[in-house]
Amino acid sequence: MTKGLIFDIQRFSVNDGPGIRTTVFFKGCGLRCAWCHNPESIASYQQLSVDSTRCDGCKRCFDYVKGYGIEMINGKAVIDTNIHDRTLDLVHVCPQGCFSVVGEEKSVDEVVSVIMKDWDYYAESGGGVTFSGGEALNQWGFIEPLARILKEKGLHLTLDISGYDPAGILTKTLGLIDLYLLDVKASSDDIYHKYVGQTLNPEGMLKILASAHKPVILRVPLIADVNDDSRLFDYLAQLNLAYDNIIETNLLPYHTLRKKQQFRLLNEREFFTVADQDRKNFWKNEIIRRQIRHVIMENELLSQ
Amino acid sequence: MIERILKKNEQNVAVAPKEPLYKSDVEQLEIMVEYTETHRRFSDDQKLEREIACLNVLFPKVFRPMYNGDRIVGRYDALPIGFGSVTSVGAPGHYCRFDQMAKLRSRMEKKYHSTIDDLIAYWKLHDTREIFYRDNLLENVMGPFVDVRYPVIITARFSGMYLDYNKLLDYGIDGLIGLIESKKSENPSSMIEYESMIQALQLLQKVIDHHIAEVKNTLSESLSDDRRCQLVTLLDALKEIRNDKPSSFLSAMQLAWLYSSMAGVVNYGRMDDYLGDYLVSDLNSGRLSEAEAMDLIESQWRLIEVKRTNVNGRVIVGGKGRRNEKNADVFCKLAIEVTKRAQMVEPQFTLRFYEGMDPQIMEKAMDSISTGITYPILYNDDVNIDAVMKTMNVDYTTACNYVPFGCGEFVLAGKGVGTPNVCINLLKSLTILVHDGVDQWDYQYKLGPLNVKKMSEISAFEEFLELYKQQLAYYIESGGQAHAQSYKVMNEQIGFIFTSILTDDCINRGKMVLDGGVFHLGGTNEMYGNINAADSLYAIKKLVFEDKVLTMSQLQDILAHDFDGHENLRRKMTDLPKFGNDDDEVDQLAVWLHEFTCSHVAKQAEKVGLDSWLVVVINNQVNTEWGRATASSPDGRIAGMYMSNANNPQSGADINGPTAMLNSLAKIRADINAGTVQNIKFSKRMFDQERKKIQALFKTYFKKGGPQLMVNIVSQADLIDAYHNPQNHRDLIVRVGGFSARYVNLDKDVQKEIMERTCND
Repeated sequence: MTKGLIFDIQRFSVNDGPGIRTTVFFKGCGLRCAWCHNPESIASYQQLSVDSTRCDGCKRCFDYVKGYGIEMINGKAVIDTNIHDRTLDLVHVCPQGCFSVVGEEKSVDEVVSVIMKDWDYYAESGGGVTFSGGEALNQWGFIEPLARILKEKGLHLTLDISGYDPAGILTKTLGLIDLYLLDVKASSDDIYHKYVGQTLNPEGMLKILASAHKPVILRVPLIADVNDDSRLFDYLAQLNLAYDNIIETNLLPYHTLRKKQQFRLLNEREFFTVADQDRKNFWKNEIIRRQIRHVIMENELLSQ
Repeated sequence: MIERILKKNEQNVAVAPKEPLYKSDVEQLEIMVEYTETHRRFSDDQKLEREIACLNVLFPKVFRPMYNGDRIVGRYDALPIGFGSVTSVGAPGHYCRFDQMAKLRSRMEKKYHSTIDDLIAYWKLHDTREIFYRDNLLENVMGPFVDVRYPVIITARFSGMYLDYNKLLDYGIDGLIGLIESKKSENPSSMIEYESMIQALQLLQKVIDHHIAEVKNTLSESLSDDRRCQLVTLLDALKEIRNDKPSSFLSAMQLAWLYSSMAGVVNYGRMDDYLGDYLVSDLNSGRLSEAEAMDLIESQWRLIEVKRTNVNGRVIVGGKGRRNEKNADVFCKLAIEVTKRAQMVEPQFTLRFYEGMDPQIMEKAMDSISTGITYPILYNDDVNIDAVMKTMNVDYTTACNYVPFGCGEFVLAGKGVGTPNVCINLLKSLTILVHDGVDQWDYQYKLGPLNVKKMSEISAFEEFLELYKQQLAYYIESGGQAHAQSYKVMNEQIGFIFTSILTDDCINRGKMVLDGGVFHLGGTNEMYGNINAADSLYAIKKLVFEDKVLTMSQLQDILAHDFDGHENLRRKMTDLPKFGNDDDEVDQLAVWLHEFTCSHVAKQAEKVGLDSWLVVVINNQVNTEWGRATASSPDGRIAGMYMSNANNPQSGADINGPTAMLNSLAKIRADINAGTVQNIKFSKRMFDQERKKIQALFKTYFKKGGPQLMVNIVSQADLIDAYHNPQNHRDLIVRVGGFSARYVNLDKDVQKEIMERTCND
């Protein structure tokens, strides 16, 4: 039986669809967004992650790799994660627990059993389950039987997709998924090329979803001076007019929160400016001016 | 051996300092000498006459003058020697607070010292708790409250009495006297009891007269029109209640308050039930506006807060079984508004709710909680009433009058006793067992006469559990006997006359409360360290018996050295699954421990002559204080570190989010004990932005059988900053366990325990 490569199962998830949800994060993504806030989701294999704050300088990891890719600096092991990205043995070598593995292979039954623990909370709140990533579509082969079981149990299912679907898997999901979260990352190919690594066409996805009568929530990462030009807001307004299956648009201002662990980064990670209140007000006005309906930013409803 | 230094514990949980006493040291001393001389004149056989005579020494002298702005009167100071019920205001029965006497002595001139020394010497023999401790402690096993070196601590106290205020207000003082008179012929052998009750009520009248004179005096001064008007109304109310039953909201509130003060009772009952009708009648007749009513309630809250009981001061609103639910709800809503507006640490404002309650009430409650005030504390009637019917063996109507007192122990309002006179530290017990009876805190043997197999000889986890049961059974059984004994000692010394008058069925039976008068003579046993003990059991099961990473002897060695040189193993222990993550294997050990202790405690009731004896898991900050003297434990907790609060996960150990945490909590049965407390902490941002989802979260938890919830809305950054810069956060209120407090007033390790609790952000 196939297993899913999952890097987190988050219970009491409140930002990935209606009600109280459990979000399953699938590892592996074909995009390389420069602002990615969970870069541990990108690689489609299990990765070694390092928490060097725990290191007490015992050198066991250094000895284990015979000094290859690990240096002792100021009494602490410094690991070259490009070299030891997949040296998962180190987890068992270190007595301090400095190493861990990002990504766990799980069976459908295992995931179902975690999800079902919160069934009562979904029922009370109108919540359910969200498949996210990484790019969840890449593991549809695993998700499909999982979703089938959850559907039989009466759960509301949401699929969070980036808009990148070269294999055309989206159509296969339509029978099982109730709600889609779809990214709109940019308004021009230039920006896509420069910051995402692929050219995307969210409208193509929207068309498929509209013809299947599937509701969609658009998710728009906003990075000051990168993608927040007027063309983006025009584009959102245009989509809004053309597709009445867009039930909501979420603006997601860029933030710098990230986990502490080090691991091999697959994207060219950059740091951008965090928007101040003035900038957020500017975005808000752009939305209101264009009468884009039902837009939410950081839980604030910007327009009805 | 490791040299251990124990941070000194106060005699009681004392967080916020009280106001200095109004009387000068010399005046206090005079009263205390008179009190002592009076006490000396009587023998124990004349306990009721003695009590009345002693109370007459105190009242009305110990009342301090009203404050400008007080809308009702009755601020009373507990002197170092006097009469009380609970440890947080004075002490139980005839008491002497030796700690305060020592301070007084050091403040006063030398010429007073011999008088003070004489008093101390007298009370060493006659203080209620001293008498109790004399014959009931067990060397190295059972110590006095709160001596944290012992696994079991006991005390004689009379905490958690809730009076039948409806009876007081329905009858008024003259009415009550008439009622008592009428019973004399039914119980001719109870003449002394009835006389003492009547004399107590006459003393109450004397106190009212004292306040009438005070208000009249104040009215002769120059006052603002507003204040004059307030005082004229107050004077009318006082005059009314001197003899008659109250006819207004103000007079009803005033009578209840003065009565509570004289009884030494510090939990104030189902206030919406007994004040609702008066309030609504005043509102309807135009005698009061809502705003004025709120001011009156706030004045009442101030008088409650100033007592600074820290762990008491409960006001209960809401719930099933109120006489006039509609009117009570009017009070309930205004009281929530006042609580939100006043931002006081007391009263411990408590909302009982149920399916079908006016939904506006829960909305208002959530609004109040969102301000960070921690109130109201939420109690689920749909779970608790059934639980009380079962554990106390009473009918539905009686169970509807359950009320949590103090830190959250259930008692039947107006007809039950439930004081927690025994506490057991389950984690300390476990560490003692792991080391073959020797507490690695002070290297004393603490298994008493038990003959227990050596750890090196046991070969299965079930054997360990069996030994743990034997040990706990011994502690519980010893505690049960001590608890019953505490009632006997108190009953020999004290009638608790004021409390008896308003406790069913004392008047009808002609008996004082502990002398066969009370309808339900129960008691409670506070369990501490439950969750660390469960996590430790899991660690032993896993590391010693399943994975065989360690032998029991190696575990002993590592723990005895506080993990020194074994940091990896400590890490392994810390990293093991912990309670609070919805992980059945470890959660079930907590369930097992809870069920064993609850059932074994409940079994003792009949043996020692109580109507019920029940476990409560309602920690105040003693989880931290007792942790200070608890050796290193197999859950990876180092010696001296705080223990988890009540049934909550060890701070920070719940990492799977609030649904998982609440699922773990809900596994622990709520229908076999008399109260547990559960804390949950949210950031302000999360609580405000996700209010609907959080309400759904709570609702689901309550449907799953959750009995109670205390919600703390606080920013993690504020807690950290307040820990380092207390001067900037004087008004930050947190829920500790069974009480709320200003964060900066807490001990540093208590602050740390709270800071490290998981904050859902």
